[in-house]
Amino acid sequence: MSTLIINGGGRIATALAARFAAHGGAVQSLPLSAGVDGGNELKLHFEAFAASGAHYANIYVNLTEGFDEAAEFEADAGIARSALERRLKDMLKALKYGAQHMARGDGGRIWVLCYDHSVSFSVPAPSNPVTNYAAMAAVQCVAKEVAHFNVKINLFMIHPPRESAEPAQWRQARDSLHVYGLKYKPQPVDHVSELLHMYAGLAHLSTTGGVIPVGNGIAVCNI
Amino acid sequence: MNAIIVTGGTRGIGRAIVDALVARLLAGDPDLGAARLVVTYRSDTAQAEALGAELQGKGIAADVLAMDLASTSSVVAFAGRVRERYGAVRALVNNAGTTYDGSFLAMSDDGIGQLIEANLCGTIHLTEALLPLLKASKPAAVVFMASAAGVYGKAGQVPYATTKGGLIGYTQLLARRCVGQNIFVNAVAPGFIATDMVAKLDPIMYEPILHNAALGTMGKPQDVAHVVCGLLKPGYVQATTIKVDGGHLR
Repeated sequence: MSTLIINGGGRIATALAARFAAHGGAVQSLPLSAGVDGGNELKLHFEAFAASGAHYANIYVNLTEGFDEAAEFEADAGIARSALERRLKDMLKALKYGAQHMARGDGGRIWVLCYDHSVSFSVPAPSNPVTNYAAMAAVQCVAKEVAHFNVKINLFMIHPPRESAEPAQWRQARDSLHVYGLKYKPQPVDHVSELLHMYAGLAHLSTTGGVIPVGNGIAVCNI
Repeated sequence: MNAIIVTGGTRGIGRAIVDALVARLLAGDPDLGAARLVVTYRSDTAQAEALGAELQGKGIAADVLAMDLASTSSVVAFAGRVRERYGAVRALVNNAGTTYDGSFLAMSDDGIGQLIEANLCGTIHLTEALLPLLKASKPAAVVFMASAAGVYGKAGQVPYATTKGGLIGYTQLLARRCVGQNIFVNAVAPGFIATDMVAKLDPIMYEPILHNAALGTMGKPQDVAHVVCGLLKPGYVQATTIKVDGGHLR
């Protein structure tokens, strides 16, 4: 069972790749070059992989690393807009070429990994609402189109893992949320990767077009 | 003088928003004040001229200006004209948008990219360019035209829905950046609305779609306009997306 992680890196994707490897799974990484159209890289990668007679069972599109929209727009809206444009184009092309690859085989599963921005008011975590909502819409649409090819597409909306902030920052976040009766309890990244890995190994995946929250205590993608 | 801007306002839902605003301006709506109406269009000059003449005939202070969200220079030029002519922007209704529909797996990368550039990045570009003028008007309102497809997805509209989902997210981002500045930022997500384009279709093409709405009917552009105009008033609605979809069922 081969797995591809597109734009890996960062705590979550790294932990996930390590978990696949520890379980004997073949994991490939495809980092898309910054600043250039990722469509061609994706197309060539899938063509070469398919030509070798191989087939990915799981493809991850990682959107949890390398950007923070809120900070970028605050710093320079023009640069932030260009980065957003490139990111979303690459995401859609990854979904397109990934789904094509799987549709030509026996089907498969595509997973989009996003960083939930709900908690970013309280701890220094990335806040990516534009990418998050765009990705959710894309996943819900694509899933409807490719279900008959046995290609399933879901999105994990992941709260920042415990390692992404200092303990004192998490305590402050927890205390500030008391007023709402919610207590955010950050999860170790290993627990997050365990959950993601578990979904990949399910013999029968009975969800597609889903937005799967990973975390607790805070609503998904709340401002 | 403050400006009230409606992009893509010469037809469809945009035109209904313009009509609703005209009615409020003529009635002396205190929430809008003595604003000048600025309507943009992309390419249909004849339709724009007809709207301009109609507004002038009604005694509305208005400008109908060309702007293409797909063109960076066009957005920059439009924002520059607004900056030169008006001191502040009381309301920005980001209605303009285009579509690229079909089977996603067969779509061209260029087509996908162009829609992201126009619908999402063009709209963000315009909004960011006008943000200083919105901040100069207290209060001010920004409304983004999203889509039900951007809320719960729709087969055949992947890039379109992605851009509309992005606008929903940008609504949150902008609202967060405008905390405490008396700028109201929200989005509206229409479902199946009876625009001129839909009216030309054979009913057999859309009747099954009507069963997707609890109300069992198509919405009217005026239904959307009513909600948009409500969001232009100062209130307690912020950073949200209001669906105008007749009660989506599936």
